[in-house]
Amino acid sequence: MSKSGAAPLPVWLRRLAPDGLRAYPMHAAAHEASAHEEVHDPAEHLSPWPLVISIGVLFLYFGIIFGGPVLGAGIILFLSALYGWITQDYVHWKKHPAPGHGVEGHILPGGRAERSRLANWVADLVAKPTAWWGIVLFLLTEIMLFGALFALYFVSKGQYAEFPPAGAPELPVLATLVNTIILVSSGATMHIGLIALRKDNRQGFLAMFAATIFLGLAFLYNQVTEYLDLFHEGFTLDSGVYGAAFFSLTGVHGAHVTAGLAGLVAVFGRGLAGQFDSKRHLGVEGVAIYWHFVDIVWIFLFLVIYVRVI
Amino acid sequence: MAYATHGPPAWKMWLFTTDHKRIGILYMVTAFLFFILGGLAALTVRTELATAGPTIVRQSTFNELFSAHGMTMIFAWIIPVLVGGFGNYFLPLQIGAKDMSFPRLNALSYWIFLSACILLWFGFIIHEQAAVGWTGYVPLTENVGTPGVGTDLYLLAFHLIGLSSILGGINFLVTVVKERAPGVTIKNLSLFVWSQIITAVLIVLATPVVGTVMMMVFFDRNLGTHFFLPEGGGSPILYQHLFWFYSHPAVYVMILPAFGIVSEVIPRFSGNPIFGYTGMVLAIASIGILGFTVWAHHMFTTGIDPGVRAGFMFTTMMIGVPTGIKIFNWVGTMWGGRLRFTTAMLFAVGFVAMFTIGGIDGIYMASIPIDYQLQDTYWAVAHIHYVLFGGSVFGVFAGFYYWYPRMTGRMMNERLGKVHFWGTFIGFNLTFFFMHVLGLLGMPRRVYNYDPSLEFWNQFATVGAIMLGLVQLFFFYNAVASYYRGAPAPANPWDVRDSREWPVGARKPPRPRVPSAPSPAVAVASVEAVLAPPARPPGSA
Repeated sequence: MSKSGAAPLPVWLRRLAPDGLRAYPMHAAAHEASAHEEVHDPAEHLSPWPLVISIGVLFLYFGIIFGGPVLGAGIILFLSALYGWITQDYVHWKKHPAPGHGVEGHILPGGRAERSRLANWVADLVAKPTAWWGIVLFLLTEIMLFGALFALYFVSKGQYAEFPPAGAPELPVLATLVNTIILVSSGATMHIGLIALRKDNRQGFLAMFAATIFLGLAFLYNQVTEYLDLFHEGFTLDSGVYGAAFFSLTGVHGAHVTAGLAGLVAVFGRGLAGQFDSKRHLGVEGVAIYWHFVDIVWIFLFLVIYVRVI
Repeated sequence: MAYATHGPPAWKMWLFTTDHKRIGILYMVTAFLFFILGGLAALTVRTELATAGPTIVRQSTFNELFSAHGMTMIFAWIIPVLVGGFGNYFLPLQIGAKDMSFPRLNALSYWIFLSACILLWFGFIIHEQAAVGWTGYVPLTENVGTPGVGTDLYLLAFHLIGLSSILGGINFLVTVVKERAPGVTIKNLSLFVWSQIITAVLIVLATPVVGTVMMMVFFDRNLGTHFFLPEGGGSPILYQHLFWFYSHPAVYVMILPAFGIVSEVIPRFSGNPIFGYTGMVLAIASIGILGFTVWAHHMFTTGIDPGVRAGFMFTTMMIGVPTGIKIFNWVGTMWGGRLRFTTAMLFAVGFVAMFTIGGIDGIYMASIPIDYQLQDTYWAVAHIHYVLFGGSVFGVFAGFYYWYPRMTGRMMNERLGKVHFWGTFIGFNLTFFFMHVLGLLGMPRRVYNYDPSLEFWNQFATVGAIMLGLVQLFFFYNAVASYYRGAPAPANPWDVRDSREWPVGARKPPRPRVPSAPSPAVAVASVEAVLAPPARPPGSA
């Protein structure tokens, strides 16, 4: 091979890929940025909780399969490690007054003026807080989870002439409509509370979040009552694929409502303790996104399973 | 990461760490251990198949071993080493990030992965190992098929591995969005980072589905539901749809990071920049998108609608186009370059060749009539190993030899490396190439006994497998011995000028007794080496 660098490419090759031999540009700034990786104090970044949570999960799973005290040990270990994790977060939160870290929304080179509107929109999205991105991507996985369960429902529906099958109990559509209104209005109260918080109206924030928690509990209560009624009529998890689909969709949703309520209670408790203001309330925003998601999923569930629009 | 003598003790630094490099090392060491376990399982299977009748293990053990081999190699070796190992270590370095966005979540992802691996192999201890293949089709995994505890362990291990993957995938995506150094934009991300991004997207979108499916089967077994049981109206075919909706993208999770590694290695040792950067990025992205539209090609013989089948055949063959673009571009990168055949480069070139064979195998199977003949024969075994061993594992080795100096500060022995490469290359082809013949002769996969007329080709494969296994000893000796006695690595051993992890600025020493940072003069010199325009093309020493 010639010493003066690469041999020239054949013409046909060059035509196929005109940018073929152009190296992608690298920035010296990035090199300098990667040089600082070594300097932070390693001890600051230790945390026993990932390990302990995982041991808890391992015990929990062993307990699910084999039963016995290992199940209890797993649950206790998991919950206490979760508490440790959150506490560590809280300590960090108190130590570092500036909210989050993150870069400005650069994703393409150049300034705002020279970029397209689409590029600027993307840049604004990129500039959203790290936690926001984490939650949104997490919700994406949740959508796929519900997607799998909906797939089960629709495939079964397409497979059988009569779905729900004959003999399945009539679902209480009207009562569930009321319950739907309860859940949707809980989303509204929460949003009003969030807007109040953004305007530093902490009274309004706390009142509205209390209302949201109350409505959420009411929804869960009605859901449990409905389950008990259905059980009474002999409609359970093992009532064929329809029972499995119904209880898995509504049950998984119910679990999400419970988790959302736990988040709301945590945020409300921290609010009562005097935390959060218009400048610093990322946790509240996170719970709010999650609660809206739970709302929206329920509306789909209601339309598909109870009203049977499709 | 200063490996200072003061501060917390070493065990604490490893068990409680949230540092992306340490987690990457943890992932890699664990994955290599499971590579050994899964490899031993494979060797036992191959030895058993040396004769047509029973040879060394019982039928039930044989089933357990090939199931464990599949699960281990996919979920405890290839995915963790490529995504958890190399991804964790080098993605933040290449985008100039201090660490991942959620460092503790990163650690959680590793430890949950380890818990899942324990569940996966626990059955061998209590003599209740799952024997359901890696696919776990219903009704085999239902109570009517395998009532034992082993299948429950399989389902929950699969579920837990999914959880670990999801946590990692989310973390990777957020890191790329939020932690890039100033000046790092989508126009200059390295191809390795691109491949990790697309991989993370696949993980985030596909894994929740399989996690849900595993729980559904678990419910069927333990709570009396009928998700996939026909007597309650459930559909076993739906299991296959949902399973492959994850598991087909999962094969791209296994191969895309290897694409990324090879796209790093080939330009370095060709003296050329990567050929067609934009095309490479678009090819990875379109493989990722198309990967979601092909899953039913695993189910051509299940009697699904012929029209649907034809659609899946079409999309499957479409995947050959972006893949062909990548192979074309790797060859274009090497074209007319000054090739330096280091071990890393040998593995990368071997990757291109072997992956091409594996890809062409796949095109045959994508064709419905041919698939009717080849479904569940050794042809499928040959195909999967050409793409996953000749592809992904060659990619892992290429990356390992290439980045070993960056991770440990020592060079690996090149002569041993070359013995390892040639042994692996020859042993690999000896093992798997003639499986094509076996497949065409009609030998079904996963069988314990087979027709004696097929013994000749099977013995070929067994000899190849033993060679392949033995030659890995060179690698493990090289990797361990070099860590202690390897030549100290210069800051930029491969003379890389356009990637952010080289040259090593202020690297950790391999052992605590070595001073923890190079002298300022060395650091300045290395920065100058980066900033100065190359006097001659890289590699033309």
